[in-house]
Amino acid sequence: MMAETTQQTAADAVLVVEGLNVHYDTTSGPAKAVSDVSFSLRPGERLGLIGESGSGKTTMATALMRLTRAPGRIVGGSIMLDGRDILKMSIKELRATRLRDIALIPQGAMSSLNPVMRLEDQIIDAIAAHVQLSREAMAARVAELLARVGLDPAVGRRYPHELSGGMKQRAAMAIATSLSPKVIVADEPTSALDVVVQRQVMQTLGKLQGGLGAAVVLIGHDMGLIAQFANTVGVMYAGKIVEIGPVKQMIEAPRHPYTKLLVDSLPGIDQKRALTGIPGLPPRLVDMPEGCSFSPRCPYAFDRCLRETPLLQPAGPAQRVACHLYPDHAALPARPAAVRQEHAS
Amino acid sequence: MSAFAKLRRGLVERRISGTLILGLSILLLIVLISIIGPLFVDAHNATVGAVTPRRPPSAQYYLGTDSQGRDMLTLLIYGTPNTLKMGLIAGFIGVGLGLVFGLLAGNFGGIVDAVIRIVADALLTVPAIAILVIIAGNVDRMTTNVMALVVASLSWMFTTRTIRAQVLTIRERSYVEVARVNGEGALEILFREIMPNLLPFIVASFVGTVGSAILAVIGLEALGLGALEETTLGNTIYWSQQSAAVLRGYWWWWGPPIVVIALIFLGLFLTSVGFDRFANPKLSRR
Amino acid sequence: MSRELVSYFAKRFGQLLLIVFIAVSVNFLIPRLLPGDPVQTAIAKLQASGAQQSVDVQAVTNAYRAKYGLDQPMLAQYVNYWRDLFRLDLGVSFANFPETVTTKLLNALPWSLGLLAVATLVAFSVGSILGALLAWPGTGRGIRALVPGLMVLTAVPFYLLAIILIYLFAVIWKILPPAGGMDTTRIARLDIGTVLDVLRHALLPLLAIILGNVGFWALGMRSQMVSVLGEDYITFAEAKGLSAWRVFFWYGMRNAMLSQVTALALAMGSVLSGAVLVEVIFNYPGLGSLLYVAIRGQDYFVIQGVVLMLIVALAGLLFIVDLIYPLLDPRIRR
Repeated sequence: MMAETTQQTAADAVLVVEGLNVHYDTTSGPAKAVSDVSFSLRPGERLGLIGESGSGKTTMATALMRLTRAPGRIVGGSIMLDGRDILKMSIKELRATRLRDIALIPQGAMSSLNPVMRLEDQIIDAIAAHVQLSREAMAARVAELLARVGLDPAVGRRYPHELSGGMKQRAAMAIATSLSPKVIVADEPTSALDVVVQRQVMQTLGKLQGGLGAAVVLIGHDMGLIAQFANTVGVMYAGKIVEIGPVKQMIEAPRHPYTKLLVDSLPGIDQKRALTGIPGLPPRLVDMPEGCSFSPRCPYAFDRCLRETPLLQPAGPAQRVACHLYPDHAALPARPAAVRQEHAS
Repeated sequence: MSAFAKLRRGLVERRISGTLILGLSILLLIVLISIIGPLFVDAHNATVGAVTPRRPPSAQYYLGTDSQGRDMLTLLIYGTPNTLKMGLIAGFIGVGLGLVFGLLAGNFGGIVDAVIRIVADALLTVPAIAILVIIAGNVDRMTTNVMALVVASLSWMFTTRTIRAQVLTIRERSYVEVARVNGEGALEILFREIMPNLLPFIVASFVGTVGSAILAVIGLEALGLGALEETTLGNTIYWSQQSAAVLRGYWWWWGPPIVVIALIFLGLFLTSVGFDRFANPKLSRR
Repeated sequence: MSRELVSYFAKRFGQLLLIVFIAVSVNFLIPRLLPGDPVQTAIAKLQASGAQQSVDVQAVTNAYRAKYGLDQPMLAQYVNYWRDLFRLDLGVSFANFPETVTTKLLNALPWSLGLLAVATLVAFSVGSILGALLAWPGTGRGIRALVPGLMVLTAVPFYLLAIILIYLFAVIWKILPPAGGMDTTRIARLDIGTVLDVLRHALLPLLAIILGNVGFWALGMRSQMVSVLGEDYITFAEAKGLSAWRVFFWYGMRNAMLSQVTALALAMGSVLSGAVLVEVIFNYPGLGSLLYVAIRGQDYFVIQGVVLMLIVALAGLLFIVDLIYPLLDPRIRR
């Protein structure tokens, strides 16, 4: 059913996700938090995954490292990291792969650090779980890692509650990059921070990633932030990727109606116009009806949209979109009403 | 929503857990035995010298007899409600006092709070058994009611602490602010906004207080400080100790009371655990 | 040590003193608030029971009248009470006149201390580890099957558990002694024989307290651990690729222990009470038995002395727990 897999299933892809499905067990049945998601990453590529709350993006982040916890379950698909499937590895192999090959920058670094351990001990035990280093070598490494994220090495002696939000986030980044992983998964790394600190943190992330040549999957809901950082952007809605492509094209010529609404909602500092949002609410992920999950809120929806779920298909150079408007239309039509009439007949 | 619908929803959401039901059932069983039991046995059999002493369980005496010629089954059936009664009296008084003190401390703060808190902490520091022993040792005529009062005097502290903490938290909540801004008086706020939210804590404290009260009562009785003229579970154990029933192998003397006591505590414990889950749905998803 | 830490300890110590002051005053007041002249009542009861013929009633009465000034107003008595306390003069035992209360206390203390310290330590550690394991998803079925058993054990008051244990081990299986701290025919010496004898006698009381308490600690730890395991830092710890043991112990237990220690402090009072009763059942020569014998024999001042000791011990324990807490939780240190 998923014939084509990714933009480029090139031999140099470092991460290839195929047909990933993650369900949450609820009292009313399984909620499909991630539905048939596929994408690939080349080394050094920055992929931004964007979506509203409930789009499945945080579930994605934990699933990529097989950290999904009950009531969540990974029910199908494959996550190939350098040719090895994370979902099929033994626990031992998985633990060895985590941090060393693929690392997580958590969403709430505020609560992701152990409150009763000193910062440096948390960095040391992470490294020590993978490599043996002498005490001096370890201390040197810790100082180096802290300096790399712009933190004073003395900060290592402190406890998490003595650090500010931004410092904690950078500490988490230091841990995540300590073993020069090939893939970094950043789950909304700046959502709890103020704008100034956000910028600092994103700059640090960019610097780190550039230095390591690692691929990054940046997950978030802030289109502006993600667009500034990523080279490829994937838009998630109701657990599926509805459009994916190079950032410039996505912003300038979005093809999926949802993407367009997201882009339009970005306030421009030089324009004076009313703020637009996206009407309606995200769908429940349990017992989803047939057809496109966005159709209830889509200004272009026509009856095929209500019957048939659209699949991701190529539309334009290096872009893929899941929408019934394509491949009939070359680009997103200007007037929704006209489209509806056209297809109604 | 009707009470029945609420019950059904509670079961479906797994908030009313098997634990809660089991706990309540055990307690219900014990209460039933206390109420209905006396219809089946002759109270006279519980007095000294009524029946042949030292008989092991048989068809005639279902649970055997003790060395003073009392029928065990009768002792148990009359002893259980007495023990329960003491626990309940102490529970009500203890929680009542605790509620009042906790409300006063949490609501009015300042010196009232400081005094109540220090006194409560001081009394918590004193090993209850010690004070109870002294008081009990000095009372001339001990009855089950007096015992209940004595135990109640030291059972309010925990409830006070809990209620005080909760009152402090609730007071900071927005709906209380709204009520204050709307001009509701302090007393009104107390009864309309704060009290209803305290209900789960009051219930939980009650179960806990009854439990520790029964524990204290049985402890005092086992030391021989109970109301020796009345039939209670603890007294039965005391008499069995006095006659060295353990060493002489009269297990039917101390065994059944222990089983009943264990059941009471098990019921209370399961009920409190199950109730926690009921009152705090976040816990129920395990 | 930072200044805030010093002031924290000072405040706690001050509270400790205040609490002890109130508790000790309560100890003074209660018997005096009850009707009757305590010394008279005690002596009258002694005479009525005809138990202690060796006591020279007149001598004792006179000694106490003079010493305690029982004909003086309450306030003066209170002052005397405190004065005597500071001189560590706790009075004299009626039953074993002229043996002082202090002597009797000091004889009984090591037995109780040993029993309680060992029992609490074992129950707390075993219970906490068990509880933590029960909350960990990777634990085997075998351990999980213990839960109902633990719940039942928690339900039985440990002095009653003691009765069952005596019956099993001393009467039916006859492998352990049913009572006493030591073989009474033995002369106490510091040798292996004595030590083994003491241990043999201590085993059942220890078992009673441990079994009665372990369930409580285990179930408490389990619920703490469950909350801790839901925290983000556990997920991040696993994301670092740490071994299961590391996450369980350094990230899980270490955080769950904080509230366990607080619970320990609060539970100490009831643990102490239960231990007293266990001693009585086993006729173990500690403070518990001392208290019991004193009650039976209306040995008034011994009772007060034991209660005083218990109050001080408990307050001291609470203070020690307060001292330990900042060591465990760095957030308190500021």
